Amino acid sequence: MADPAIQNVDIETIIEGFEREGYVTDDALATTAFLLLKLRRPLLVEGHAGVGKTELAHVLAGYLGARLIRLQCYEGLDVHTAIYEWNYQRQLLAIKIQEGSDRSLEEKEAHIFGEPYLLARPLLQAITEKDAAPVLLIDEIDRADEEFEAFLLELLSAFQITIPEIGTIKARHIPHVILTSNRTRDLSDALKRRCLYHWVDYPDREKERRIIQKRMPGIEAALADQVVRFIQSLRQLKLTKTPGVSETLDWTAALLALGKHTLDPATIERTIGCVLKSTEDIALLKAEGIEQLLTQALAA
Amino acid sequence: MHPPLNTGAASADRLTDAVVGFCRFVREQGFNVGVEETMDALKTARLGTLTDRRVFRLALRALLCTGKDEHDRFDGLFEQYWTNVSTPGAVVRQRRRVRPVARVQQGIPLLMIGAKQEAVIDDEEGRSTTGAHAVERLRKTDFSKVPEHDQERLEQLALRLFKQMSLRLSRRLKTTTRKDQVDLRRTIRRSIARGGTPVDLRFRGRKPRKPRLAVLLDVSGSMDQYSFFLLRFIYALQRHFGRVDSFLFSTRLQCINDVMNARRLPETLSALADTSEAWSSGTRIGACFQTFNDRYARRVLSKNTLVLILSDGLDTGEADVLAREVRAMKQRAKKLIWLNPLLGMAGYQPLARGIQTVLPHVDAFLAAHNLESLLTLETHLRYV
Repeated sequence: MADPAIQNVDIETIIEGFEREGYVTDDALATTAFLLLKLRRPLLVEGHAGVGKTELAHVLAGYLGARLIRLQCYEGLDVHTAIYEWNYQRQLLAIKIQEGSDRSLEEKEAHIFGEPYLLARPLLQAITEKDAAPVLLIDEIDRADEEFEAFLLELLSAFQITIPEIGTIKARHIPHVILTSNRTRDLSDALKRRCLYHWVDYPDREKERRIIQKRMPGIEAALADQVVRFIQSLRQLKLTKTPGVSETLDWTAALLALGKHTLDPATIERTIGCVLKSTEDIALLKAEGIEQLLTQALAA
Repeated sequence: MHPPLNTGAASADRLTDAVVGFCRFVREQGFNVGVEETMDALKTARLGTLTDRRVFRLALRALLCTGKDEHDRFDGLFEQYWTNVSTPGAVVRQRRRVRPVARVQQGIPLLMIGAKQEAVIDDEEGRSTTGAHAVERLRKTDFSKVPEHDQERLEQLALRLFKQMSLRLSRRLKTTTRKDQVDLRRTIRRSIARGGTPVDLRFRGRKPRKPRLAVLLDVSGSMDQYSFFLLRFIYALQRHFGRVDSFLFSTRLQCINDVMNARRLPETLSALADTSEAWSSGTRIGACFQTFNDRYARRVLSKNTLVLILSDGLDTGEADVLAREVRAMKQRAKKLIWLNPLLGMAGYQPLARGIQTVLPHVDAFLAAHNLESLLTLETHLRYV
């Protein structure tokens, strides 16, 4: 690939570029992104919910100035939604229109199974992108079934798709592929092996503070610090759903909207719905004592 | 930042050797690293990552790891290898540990040695129990009361019956495939000849979704014998499930997926004897289930999963913990079946406190003390 932006890339420029896109990163992730661009291997990102796995793809696309194509996986995802589908309505119309023509049956068939009648779904789009390599985000791959995973593996090694009626379509530009997984099931060894791997952990106190400040530039340092301390101590509790960075950001936005400058137990209680998403977790927090936890968090 | 790697005056050749050696080293540590990854590791080294030891470590970590466990172990391995690499041969040569020879230990539970039980059954004695009558009797014999000389015959019978059942289940799956969606693509193809009017509708059957199965087997003391047969039962049924996750527990919980995915059962069971670390009497069901819920449930359980628990419910831990954990398990799963061999005993009442507290959360509470009772499980498996 003769893309100059990728030719001259190094780890420092990636860190800077990602920061410009509003994504706080470290050299582990930057190194991985560097290899993604250089080795042209897909990247598998795992981590807890809400730590910015999907965001990474958006940022990479922004950084490269490339188009982002997203495929959301779910159980039962099939070829027709992932790769391509024929435009049936148009085909039916075309058949009607051609009714009086003197074309042979074979010609008519070849016509309606031509490219104008093809609806490209994300994977086909990613391969046929004309101008530059796009970023292909395959989100929550662990939700798709094993059969789809096997197909994906084939696509990720050959970067070509075969449509029986048209033939084989080869990628013009090999896309930058990012797969995310919440680890609800194990992926196949073959797929894991094909990919670079990166584990996204919850950020430490310093990093989370920087993330807040990056995303909410106006925030007072004291409030950001308190929010981070409280969230970090919440993560130590045995919750059914541990809050991620996205919850931190939601909560901070809520506190700013309420015009708060510091955290106090009453405010926490009123806004806790931004952070904890189940009644069990909220009950657990109350049993621990919001005030007590806050005092401990701020003292730590 | 950090000192560069100690490659100093090393020629490109020595560097190549060292990187290849490292790939081999992590492969021996269980990493799934092949030729392609090794080539990419060399490419990575030439991309300028070598100037900083930390960056080189991060790069190789992204490249060679395939999961969180490996990710967590990698840094240690990296240090271990590259600290010695000024003499690259050293590490490369010290590899190839001799695999521990499989051996039957004294005092391991029956579940483990069951497969190795010597087949030296006296022929004379054997003949006395042939025929339909014997089969009928064996089907109904409690696993723990099967006399020594019938042991092998029972296993053969079990194998045969399980196979039959497996076949029945698979036929059933085929016939339930419904045609419920119009396949537009093929319908349109057909309609060309009729001027675009879709006269012949073509259908697309919905792909039957295979249920998933999670099995938790009690292997403490008296339960070995039962667990052993249930394990065979599960093994025979494995292919009817989208996925089977198996766990053993006594005082600790252990995942045995690796062993269950092996090809042949006898080797499987003896392999289990090798991998099991701490088997002892006494059961802490609650604590084990807690481990399960904390560490595995998210991955193993779904609204499509059937959970089978085999245990007599004699918990030495707290009953509250057990009830709470079973409830949590049930919430994530589709169906929860508790098998209790003691149910087969005449006059048994589930009075043990452990069992009492979990009964409300269990979909079915069944006996599993002989072949017949295992075979009746079929009905439950059919409608997962």
